[in-house]
Amino acid sequence: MKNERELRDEILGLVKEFYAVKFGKPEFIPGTSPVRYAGRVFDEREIQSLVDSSLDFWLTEGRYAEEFQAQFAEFVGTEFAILTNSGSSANLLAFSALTSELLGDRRLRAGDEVISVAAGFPTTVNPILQSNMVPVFCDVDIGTYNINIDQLRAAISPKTRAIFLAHTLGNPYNLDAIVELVKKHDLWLIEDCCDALGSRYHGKHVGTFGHVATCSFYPAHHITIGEGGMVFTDDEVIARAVTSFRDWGRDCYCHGGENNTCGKRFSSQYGTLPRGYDHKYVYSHIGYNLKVTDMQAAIGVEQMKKLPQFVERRKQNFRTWTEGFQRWTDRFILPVATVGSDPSWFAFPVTVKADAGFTRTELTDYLARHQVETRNLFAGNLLRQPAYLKTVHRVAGPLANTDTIMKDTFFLGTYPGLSVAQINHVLELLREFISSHGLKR
Amino acid sequence: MANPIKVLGRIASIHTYGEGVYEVTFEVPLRVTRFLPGQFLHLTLDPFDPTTGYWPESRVFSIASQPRQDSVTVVYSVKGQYTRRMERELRVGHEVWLKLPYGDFIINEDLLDQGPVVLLAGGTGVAPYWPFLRARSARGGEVHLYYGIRRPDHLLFRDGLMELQHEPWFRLHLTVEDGVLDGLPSARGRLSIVTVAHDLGPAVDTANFFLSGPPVMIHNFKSQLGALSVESKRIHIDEWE
Repeated sequence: MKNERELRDEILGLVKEFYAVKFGKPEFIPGTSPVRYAGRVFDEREIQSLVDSSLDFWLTEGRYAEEFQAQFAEFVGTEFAILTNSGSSANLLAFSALTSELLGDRRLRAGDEVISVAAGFPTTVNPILQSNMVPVFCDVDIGTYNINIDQLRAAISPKTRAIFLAHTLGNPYNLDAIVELVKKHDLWLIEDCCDALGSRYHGKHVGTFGHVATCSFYPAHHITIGEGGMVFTDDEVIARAVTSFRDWGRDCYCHGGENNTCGKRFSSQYGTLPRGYDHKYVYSHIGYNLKVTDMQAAIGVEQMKKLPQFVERRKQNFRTWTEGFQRWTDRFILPVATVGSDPSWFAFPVTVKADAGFTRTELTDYLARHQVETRNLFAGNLLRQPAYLKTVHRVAGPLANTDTIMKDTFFLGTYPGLSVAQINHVLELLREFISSHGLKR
Repeated sequence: MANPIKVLGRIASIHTYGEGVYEVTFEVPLRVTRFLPGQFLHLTLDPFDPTTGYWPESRVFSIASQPRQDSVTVVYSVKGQYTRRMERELRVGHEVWLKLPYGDFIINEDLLDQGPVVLLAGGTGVAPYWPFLRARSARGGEVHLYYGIRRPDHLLFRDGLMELQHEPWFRLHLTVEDGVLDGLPSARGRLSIVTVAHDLGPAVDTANFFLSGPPVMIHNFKSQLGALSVESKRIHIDEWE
């Protein structure tokens, strides 16, 4: 009879064969094959790792989660990386952690103001509202699609306690200016890096400038585990609060399969519980359960090994788009990297000029009919979305550029699965479309 | 400090301090040794299979080495069944599973702005202080180490203490129950909060006290500090079951 190791090896060998049969090398046929804006990029190793984990049948966080978190922390250069089930959950956890009593008087409280932008993804802003705080919306700059620093400066009030911003589509915001304001006004900075894994600013990874940062592993992102996200920080108190909020709010930090990690499971006194009440069931936060399975983490372990190549491919694809679009600067505003940054671009955002001769929707509709995927810049202007019309918030100034983005901006993909042939095919489609539309003068 | 991680540590050295007190150093991957002075690890003598996930019975030991080296050191004294097993089974070259880092018995440098930091250690209880003391060479503030041992050969970190005693910020108060130390000034007897309070004078009202050692010592010292009206937030305890 074969032993466990031999059986595992045999199964994983079959998985490799399966990958070759099912996924092989897809062929791109212009006009027939879709050009996606994003997608999973993987080989047999991700599936082998997933199956290996499933054979453990440990299911909840285990050896792969431990490894994935360590790899991630090593990559970005932080002390802590805490895995969760989505980038949105990561945002919720990072923000909730700043309300923790562990932070004493520094903690965020209901009614505090938090500066953000309306041109982005809802779950950067939602934790502010869910915590009964007041989001303050600033406009963004067209081109970088990041917060306008002048408006940010003017938006700071005595009630301002934090800045919570995403690095839009992988383009880092002006961290020099923002970190200076954070220090000057003693604010918290939460960096939403869901679209920016691998982006750097002055050579340092984004997410390492603020107090806490987040990342997403949804399939459209830089690496994927299906559904997943990460909170990362150097601050051990924040890390402890994040873990507690993630794990039902409990005070205990044993992982599954562990007991008495703290070494005082039955000897301490918490709240008004009797002394020695089992620490496993002591709750120090009003928490959630936002954990992932070890099978997801197993995919992440292999994706992390590919991440440096993925980042390079994204940059390369961005350059190919930029070169292709240079001939149409009379029609489009092209994206620009923030000064001092080296973005790992999530996408190639383009704003259709007012006198382009066509609208954004006409163009994206045309591309969709030719099987080319595009996306708008997420929510456009969040404040015009139904869910936000009646929310308590403050607007720091006119959101003119945010409205322009809502009307005229879209993005194309830069993901590593996108080939030069696919980009050239789309550029040819664009040439045909544009040549049939004169400039509005 | 970093995410806790489980790792196979290879025993690089075992140093004996008299009867029943040992210093054990494990070689581990570099990234494992990102911890804060004062934190602890778990050590298990039983096999651990990462594919099953269940962590076996283990014991907790303060990390007595510096962070960010390629090894971790713990010290232990033989007191119960598990430490007797350790004494029998741990040998140079053997591998054992460790998980680390854990704990919040951290001596925050900011505390030195409030007043003296007073470290009270009974026996191997000095271990969690050692990474902190070694890391803060040539800094300001006032740190007292009250360190009580039963016998002279139980003294840990002798060479380091010899060096540190010349640091202007460091005050060493050694107490030996039975015997006399060579080369380091020491008093005869047991550690006493009365002596500590006498030494500190009015600074007892601003000092932060750290307690590490046998449970009875911790319990008694905590009560005695309370009786001196030391606020509970200024008493920090390294207490395990």
